[in-house]
Amino acid sequence: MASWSSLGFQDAASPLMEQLIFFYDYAMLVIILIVTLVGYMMASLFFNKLTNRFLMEGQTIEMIWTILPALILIFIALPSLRLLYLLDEVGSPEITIKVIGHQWYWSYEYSDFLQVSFDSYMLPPNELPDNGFRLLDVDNRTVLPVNAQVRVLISAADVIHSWTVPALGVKADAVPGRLNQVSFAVNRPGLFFGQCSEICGANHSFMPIVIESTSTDAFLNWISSSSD
Amino acid sequence: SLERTRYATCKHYLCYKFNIRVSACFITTRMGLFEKDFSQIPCFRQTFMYSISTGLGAGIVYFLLTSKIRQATHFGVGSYAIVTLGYWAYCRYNFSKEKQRTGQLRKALQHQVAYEGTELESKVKGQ
Repeated sequence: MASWSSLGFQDAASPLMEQLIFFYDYAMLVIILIVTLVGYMMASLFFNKLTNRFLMEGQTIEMIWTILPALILIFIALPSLRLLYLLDEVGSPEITIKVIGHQWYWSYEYSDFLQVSFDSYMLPPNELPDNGFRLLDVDNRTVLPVNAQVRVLISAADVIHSWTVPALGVKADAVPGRLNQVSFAVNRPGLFFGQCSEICGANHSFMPIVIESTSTDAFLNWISSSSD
Repeated sequence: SLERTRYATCKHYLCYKFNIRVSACFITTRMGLFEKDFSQIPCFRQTFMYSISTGLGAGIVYFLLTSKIRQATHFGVGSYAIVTLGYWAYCRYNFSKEKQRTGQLRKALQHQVAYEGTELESKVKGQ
């Protein structure tokens, strides 16, 4: 999970996030190389004594510095487009949950099985255990089974919110009157935290999301106990 | 390894409640820029091995042939950049292809257990 001074991505907890991190590494190396190269060229200009007052054109160099960046962009664009379409695939989800954003909490509905629905409020500091995570822990976590394809339908009841879990690589706006869909599969057990990502009022910073991914048995036990 | 664990024991209350180890109990971080272990990035090591050695070699050879320091430096840096970009794209493309094949194979093996002894298996084997 993220802690203070974290600048990079959290460890991936879904195949999609792994792919996003792979693409990020790939593109970042290209970008850093370009920046280094241009910086080197600019630095060497400081020590350059060549001048040509009658310079009018340079067809060869213009062709080079047009074609080379175009090639680089193609090499970045192809994996990017592949990932873009991969993110939109919805491959036979096994579970569908509905997430509704309110001011200032999330409510979840599991309608596949018995009707299970609950609200998820942030634990205020005075109710937080000594070893809880401030501003991140909630009273009712969203439990999901590991390695199951999950479809999440996101909407809102009042103003626009945004449901996100960085470790899973998902983020979608919760817009009133609209249904947004995200699909993912959690590939390891654990707790994954997220926070509302669209300004929604006074307590926008105090409506976190916690996904708890467990074994299928534990998930089924939780579902049956929740429906009771 | 470059991993560092910030808390030696589980601090999250869920660990006490359910006696389970959740990944949030151990906040691991990594040394290095952006907590990233660069050696774990696929193709990173090979790319920089080839590009640094090519850049150095090309720069030295150019200097030996022409005795021009500045141009040799330009040539070395240019070769380094071209080899880095070129080999990185080539290596990552192969890595991506291999990863996709491995994923398909893993899925096929998982399904094979379910389809064993059924009509579908005999149909697939017949093909």
